[in-house]
Amino acid sequence: MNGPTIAADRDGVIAVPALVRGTLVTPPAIGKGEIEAAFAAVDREQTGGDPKTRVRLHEAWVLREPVLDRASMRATGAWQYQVMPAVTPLEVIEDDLDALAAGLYELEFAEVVRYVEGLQQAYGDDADLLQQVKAWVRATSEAPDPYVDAGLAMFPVMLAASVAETMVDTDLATWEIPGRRFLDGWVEVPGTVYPAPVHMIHAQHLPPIAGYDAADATPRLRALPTRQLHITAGNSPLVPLASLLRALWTKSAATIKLPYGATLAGAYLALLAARTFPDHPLTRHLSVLYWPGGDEQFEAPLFLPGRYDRIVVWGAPGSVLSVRERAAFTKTVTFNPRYGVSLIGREAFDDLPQAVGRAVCDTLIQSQKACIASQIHYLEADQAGAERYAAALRDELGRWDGFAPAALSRSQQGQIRRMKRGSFLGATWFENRAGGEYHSAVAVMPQEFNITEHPMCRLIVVRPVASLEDALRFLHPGVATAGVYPEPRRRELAVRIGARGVSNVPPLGQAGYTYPGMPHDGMLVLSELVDWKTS
Amino acid sequence: MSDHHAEIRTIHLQLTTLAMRWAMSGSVNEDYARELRFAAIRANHRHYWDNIPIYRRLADQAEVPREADTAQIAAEMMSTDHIFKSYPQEYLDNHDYGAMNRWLRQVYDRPVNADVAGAASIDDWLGRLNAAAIHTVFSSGTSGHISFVPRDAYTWSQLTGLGVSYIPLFQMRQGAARSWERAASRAAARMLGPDGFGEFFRRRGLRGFDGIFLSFSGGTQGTQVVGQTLARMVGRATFLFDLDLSATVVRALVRGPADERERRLSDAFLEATVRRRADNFRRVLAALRESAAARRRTLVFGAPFMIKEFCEWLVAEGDEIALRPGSMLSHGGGWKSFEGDRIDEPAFLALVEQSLGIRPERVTEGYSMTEAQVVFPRCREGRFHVPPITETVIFDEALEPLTGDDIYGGLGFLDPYAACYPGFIITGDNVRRRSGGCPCGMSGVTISDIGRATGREVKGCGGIMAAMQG
Repeated sequence: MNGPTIAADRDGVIAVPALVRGTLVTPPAIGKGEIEAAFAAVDREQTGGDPKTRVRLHEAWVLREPVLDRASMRATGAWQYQVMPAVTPLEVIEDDLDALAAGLYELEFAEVVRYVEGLQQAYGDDADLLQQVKAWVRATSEAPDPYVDAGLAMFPVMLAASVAETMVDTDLATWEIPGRRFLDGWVEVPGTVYPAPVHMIHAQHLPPIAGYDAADATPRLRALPTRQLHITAGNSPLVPLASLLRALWTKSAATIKLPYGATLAGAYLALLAARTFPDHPLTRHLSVLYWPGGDEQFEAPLFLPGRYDRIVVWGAPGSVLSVRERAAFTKTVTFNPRYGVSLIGREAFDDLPQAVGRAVCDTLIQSQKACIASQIHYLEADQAGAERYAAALRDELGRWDGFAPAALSRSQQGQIRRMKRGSFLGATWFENRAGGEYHSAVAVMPQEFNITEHPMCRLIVVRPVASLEDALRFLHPGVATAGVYPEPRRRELAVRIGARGVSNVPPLGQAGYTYPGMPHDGMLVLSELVDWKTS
Repeated sequence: MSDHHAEIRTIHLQLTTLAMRWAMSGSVNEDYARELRFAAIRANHRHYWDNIPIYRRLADQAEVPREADTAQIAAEMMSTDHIFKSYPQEYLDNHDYGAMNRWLRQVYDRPVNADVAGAASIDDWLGRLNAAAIHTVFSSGTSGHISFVPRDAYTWSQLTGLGVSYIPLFQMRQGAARSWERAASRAAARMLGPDGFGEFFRRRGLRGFDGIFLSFSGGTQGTQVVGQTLARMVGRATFLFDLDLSATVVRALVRGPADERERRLSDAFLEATVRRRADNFRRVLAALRESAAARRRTLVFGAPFMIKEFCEWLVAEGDEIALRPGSMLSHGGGWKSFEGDRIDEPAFLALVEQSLGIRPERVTEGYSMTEAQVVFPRCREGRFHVPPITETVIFDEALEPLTGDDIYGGLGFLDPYAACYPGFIITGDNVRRRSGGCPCGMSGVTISDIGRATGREVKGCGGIMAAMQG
């Protein structure tokens, strides 16, 4: 196919175009030799810590990601390089509000549906490129291959017209009116209009004004699109996709920051958009690109008041806090770092394999990196029961290690060792190890611990409790999901769990379930991304 | 005295003599020093293995026998500082100090029999331990989860006395003393040996100084203990906070007061520290002026963020003061929770000189940990020197020991002087460690480029003081 594309040179250096307000910007050609020399220079200057992941060369950002051996999930020592254009912040900022009001904002929602359907159709049309992108993603992803494949397989599903329609019709619904109508124009709503005190005072002291009566007023609502800046996280390739779709569904002008570790899938979608709908208003007001997170020079202009109407941040506590501080005058929607837990009643021992199978599914969502993945299992059992359960968990994790081996990085290996020699010295460990390295582990922990120590990779902490009610004190708004077993206990505890700030209380094994219209972190997100206008 | 104590005290005496020689001459016989350190580490390992339950649990987990060599101990038997806060929080929440005694026994080499009947607060408990000759230093991180490190009388004497035997000699070699003082101290060190010199320095070394301590006059938090120890050596001591740094209050400030009593204590503490800070600064300024007027030299001590705050206050008030030539400033504890307030070393030194008139070469710093007896003094090249009396280990991210003359990673140490609790500690700091001497002229190992490892809690004074920022 002609035109800009994602392509590797003969040395494997991948050139990744950026989409800048509808235009694909290709990076300069930079040879592997120059790239390696640049990284060698920064490596020499570094006294320690993790290796640098990027350098700026010419007018481009060059990222390097370690290539992993897919069988062992260990770094091979080789790097995969991506070159992306370094654009200036002013190139992505939308400042012609009248043009937006007259163009993108007046687009019919049906046109949005046609657009995403077109992307869905295009996805995979260039099968060679899609296969190549998958191969590049697989080469460096810390997620096991089955997760990479399943994640990319979700793209066409999420691009479905029915998903767009359901999301908009539910998230933006009010007065029992489907959401798309509010996106498409002013909608009269059957509200009773009350005058303000000023009108009462007026009525007491002055003659009526003709045609000026609250009883005659007609309330109207509209969900106006916005200018959105999405700063996404790299814990899943679905994160940039979710951000992109939310912007499209709400007919909004958007800048999507691709995160290190998940650039290629997002760049592929941007490429599809530019190729399939080059002159479409949704494309012309869309930017998808990489810049280093926290780069003051790039981000400060974006965070100025009036530059965006919404800033959406996914990520680590430091990133979220930093954006909140720097963009104090722009409405910010944050997806804070959260984690999942499981509450498992003693009934689990009636059918231990079933309970364990469900619990591991809740744990291994996105290979335990998703914010809804269960990290701690509160189990109604004594120590002996907890150890029996933990042994079964270890065996189940071992099976997953076989068909979906995870990459426990060296620092995650070190963190488990640190835990065993410190805060978890009193724990009883059940491990799957080979060659001195952890593949997965379960720790039965007799006392509370600091969740920030958890490496969130193939480690389950089992906390025995006398009663599931005893586990309630460990729940708080930092817990996204609490899967409960068995069902009667879930129904009994659901409101009490929710009252503690937990967003999702599914049956055990269903923490990863999702559906169009499902709230995210307690929010109907599309409703947060539009501006509700009245007239 | 047990066999272990007799053996370890003999080695300690030899090590401390070595430290003094190193501080005076800049070098020692490295092989001999290593031999002594390793002997102490092996002896402590055996003692811990026999007597400290949590250490034995780790040994069983790692399948390390009683007789182990230092390499195996370094690879398998070093623990994180979490072991000193491995008690369930409900013990403190419920004021169950009997349970805290039983927990403390897990990290201590003998029964903890302190009478806790009627103890109503952490401070009460610490007081009862102290009465039972278990001197317990506490440290709080940003989570408010307090760690407790117990010491018997002998180890406590090392904590408060070991540094005196070599740090003054080190600092003098770096130029932080008059030439005649340096000569006199060297002569005294040679004649008197470790104990005698320590005693000499305690009695005479700082007697000509007035001390200004930008810290608390009481309480057993690590940095505060250093200040209190120095305060006993100077001619006249003035503390910025003339009250105890109470563990009860520290926990209440970080975690929130549990009851009305804790609320009252916290309020009173904040009133005395935060709300009356300007009053306290004025009182300290008056003491500084008095010393200057009396033509007495001054030793200023504190954590860097507190020194910076005080110096900036002096400048803002137009109250800069020129202390008598020969005055000194000593700081420790790092910036920690005040990383955002950090200023670089030249700016810090310039601020100190502008506001107090203390010359850069008379500003000293030490690096240590709550769990260690040995302090690493900083040289004029900005490196912290590891005295030849303690063993450092640098870990990679997978917690495997690294080797090399210039390496970066997580810092661990095996403190030969930790005779009664597990002193083989993996810290939360990342450092650059270099061997083979320093441009300042000292031999041996140095550390620099200190940073907190990702995800590790900020501990020590910084963690506590952050909670006091109104």
